Amino acid sequence: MLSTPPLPGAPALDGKDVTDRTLENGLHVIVKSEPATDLVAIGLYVRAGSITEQEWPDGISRFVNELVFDGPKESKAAKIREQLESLGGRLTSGVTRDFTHAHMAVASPYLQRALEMLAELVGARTFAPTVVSDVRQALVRQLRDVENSATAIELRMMNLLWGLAFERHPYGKVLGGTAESIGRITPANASQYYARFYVPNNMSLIVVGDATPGEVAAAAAGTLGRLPRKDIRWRQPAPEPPQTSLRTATIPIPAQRHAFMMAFHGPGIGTHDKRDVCTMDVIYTILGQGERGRLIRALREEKQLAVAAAVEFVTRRDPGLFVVTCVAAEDQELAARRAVLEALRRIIEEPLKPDELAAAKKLLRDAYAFSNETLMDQTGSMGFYDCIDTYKFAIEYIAEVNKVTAKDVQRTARRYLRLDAYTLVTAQPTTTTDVKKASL
Amino acid sequence: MLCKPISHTQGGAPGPNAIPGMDGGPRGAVIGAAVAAFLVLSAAALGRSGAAAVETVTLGNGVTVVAKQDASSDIAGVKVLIGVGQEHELQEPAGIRTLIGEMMLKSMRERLKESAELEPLRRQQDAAPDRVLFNTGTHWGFAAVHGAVTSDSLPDCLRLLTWVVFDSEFTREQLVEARDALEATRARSLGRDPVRQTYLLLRRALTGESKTAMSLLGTKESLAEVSLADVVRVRERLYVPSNTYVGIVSPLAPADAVALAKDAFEQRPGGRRPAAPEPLAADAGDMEVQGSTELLRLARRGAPPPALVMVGVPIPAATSPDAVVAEVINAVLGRPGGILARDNKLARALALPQASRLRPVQTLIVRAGAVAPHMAIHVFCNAYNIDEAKNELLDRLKRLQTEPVNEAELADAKAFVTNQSARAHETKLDQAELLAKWELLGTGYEYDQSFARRAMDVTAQDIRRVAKQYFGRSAVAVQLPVAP
Repeated sequence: MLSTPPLPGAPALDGKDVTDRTLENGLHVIVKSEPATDLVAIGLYVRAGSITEQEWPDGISRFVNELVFDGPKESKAAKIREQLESLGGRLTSGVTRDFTHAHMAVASPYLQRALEMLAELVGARTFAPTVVSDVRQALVRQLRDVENSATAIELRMMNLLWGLAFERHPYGKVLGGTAESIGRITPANASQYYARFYVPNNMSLIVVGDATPGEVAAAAAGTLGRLPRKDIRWRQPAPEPPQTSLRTATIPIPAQRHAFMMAFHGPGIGTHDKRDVCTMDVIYTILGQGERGRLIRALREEKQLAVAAAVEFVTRRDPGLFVVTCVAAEDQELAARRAVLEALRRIIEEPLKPDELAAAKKLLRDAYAFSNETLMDQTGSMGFYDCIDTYKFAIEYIAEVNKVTAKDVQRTARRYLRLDAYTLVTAQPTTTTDVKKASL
Repeated sequence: MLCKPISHTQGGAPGPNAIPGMDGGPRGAVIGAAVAAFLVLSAAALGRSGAAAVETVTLGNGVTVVAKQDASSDIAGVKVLIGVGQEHELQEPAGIRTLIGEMMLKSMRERLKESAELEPLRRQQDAAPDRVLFNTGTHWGFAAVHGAVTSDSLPDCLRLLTWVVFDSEFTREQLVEARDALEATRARSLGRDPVRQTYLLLRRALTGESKTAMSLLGTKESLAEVSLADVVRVRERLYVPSNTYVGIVSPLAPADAVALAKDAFEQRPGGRRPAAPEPLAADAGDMEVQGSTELLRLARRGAPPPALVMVGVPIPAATSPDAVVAEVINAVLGRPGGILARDNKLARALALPQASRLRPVQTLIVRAGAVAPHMAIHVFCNAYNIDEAKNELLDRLKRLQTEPVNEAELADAKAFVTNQSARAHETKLDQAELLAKWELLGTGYEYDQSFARRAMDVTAQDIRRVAKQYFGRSAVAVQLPVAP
């Protein structure tokens, strides 16, 4: 149908106008100038997530994130947020296994003011015991609701899966915590965690939009640039020992439906060859991107073994998990698990045809383009990679993906997709208790 | 791949009371603390984006194309707006435009699924499974069809949208399915939202004409009247190239994007541009309309029953130099932490339990459709204090005519308008819609690019002058709870 010559589009994430510098207090500032609109997107990334929770209660990263960026009515955080909203700005924040982030979007003339607000939010905060107590109560209530909810099965399965797959590494902690772990957090815990990790030399500031590097530098210098540098004193977690056998667990559910999650240890960007990370993304794409991934098709269309299926591989600093999730059709759980293993076996044993590899790369490239459409998306990509490696990887990512060969796919699949040593969590009707073994 | 964090969002997210089809203007307000003034900015500090390359052209058949280059990402957004508003529908069964939009959507989905030629577009949907890349929509002032794709698929996307708007063939089966879909939407949205219901009452109060109070979704009865022949007739008469505006925002040079649009759209015969009925003036004259709804029984046991008061006033048309003044007034009154949010009398009148999910105060602006441009302000209040709430809202509008807004308030309101305007440009589709919309409304796309600068130039005198000129008459809609 294309009658026109190839179009001069744009890279999925263009690094042409990206600069970075580290301020004297250690804050890493990354700027991508994009003057097509008056908007600037701002991302502040703090390296505080499950990975830094080793000596702390599960979910303390989320707890401190709530204290710093949200907070109950009348708290400093709430007042700053109200100011921002009153001026038409927007703030979002969140926590992952590797980091905490906050994002804002404002018209470019308000960049300085937005950074002032961010500095007020993250810098030199003290938390009144009543505020800590209010946040704790709210989170515990929220988590209890989730824990008791019949619809939160996927979340409960995911928490169990990570806990089972990681016996030593803090990735096994419950992301966001449990009602019990959050209930144990004291004002002293929260303040210590905040003081240790919310320091400029543990943060990256990413600004994308209608601002020059000079403007950002000037705005940052008088705001976040003034926060004092401190020692982080963080012990890197020991690597997770290799998994050598199948690990299983089951949760009972009050529904006549069988669901399962299978997890395989993948490469980490901070610990493995980046080619492995990109290759795993290609494998993920072949198996599960969109409706026509091999595995999704096999489970849902060709064999009608599942009513829903998904594949996930999120790049992490340390080795994370490659996860297949499936809600099996009636009486098809075992067959669905066999189909998953069979699809993985094919990836390991059968070389990809060139056209299939090319199509997967194109799909991955387009997916990356969509996930970098907005300025905010781009702060997200660069902040994400800067926390776990370097922001430059966000820019080089597609070029690296393009280097992946069919041999890489087989080699990487063989290395990580261990069909005899994975983690399986099933959710079964309360009457079923044993996990049957699926094998090829 | 990138990670999806546990996250929470503050501000900016559309509230439960947003009304589809409202265009322009800040949304929402929450009673809150007084706010610190932002830096007072000069207009000169704004508008570097005015330099972005834009090209506009009217094709031989009358299609207006506006193309803007934005190379910040490889996504292209295409918004096709057809100038068919509620004013065209007053002589037709209510909801027929939405029905046509739904049928177009069904045609588009079927073609995307079945056409071998469209494999590249299907792959786009695989690349962004969480997003609806191709869709249709119906607003008070226009109908819309859109697509978002990577730039290499822009030609395919344009061809698909052209086909959907002008060439797709409607079937009886689609008509039946579309009716069912609208019925479900009505139950999901209008049937659960007292603000939407009250806004419809307000349209009647503004114009004195009950037909303007018909929902965009029509009614079960009005849609049952629509035959396939009606749909085809209305589409052939109104959905014509000379009534079509295409906004394209992509990394391509504007001339290249225009050339692609030409390729896709120019083959369609022009057709006569349908006459646009004049919108009804929004100043029927201090009319008050009352209604009641079961949806207002939301208060906790023992708390006073909630009611909803909505006041509407006319505002300058989009093409007036004063249009932007209305946006600033809207922000002065209705932004979070704005005058209404800090109004003690109003706070007393509200007297609602804190746990209410309803946003107590909200303002919005509607610029197109059967009713001339107007601003609507609503408050949820204690049903025993309706008069107090209504009088306070009317008094606030009166005071704008006589008392100058103080400089700090004005600076904050302008900051709000400026930031909201910038944030309204986040996606390529957002930008494409704004370009096409301003062309359709007659201001030209330049309005979008100069909007923030104009907002910064608004003075307290401008506000008083516009309030005096437009707020002399108002309309009121009151929604009462159903008696237990």
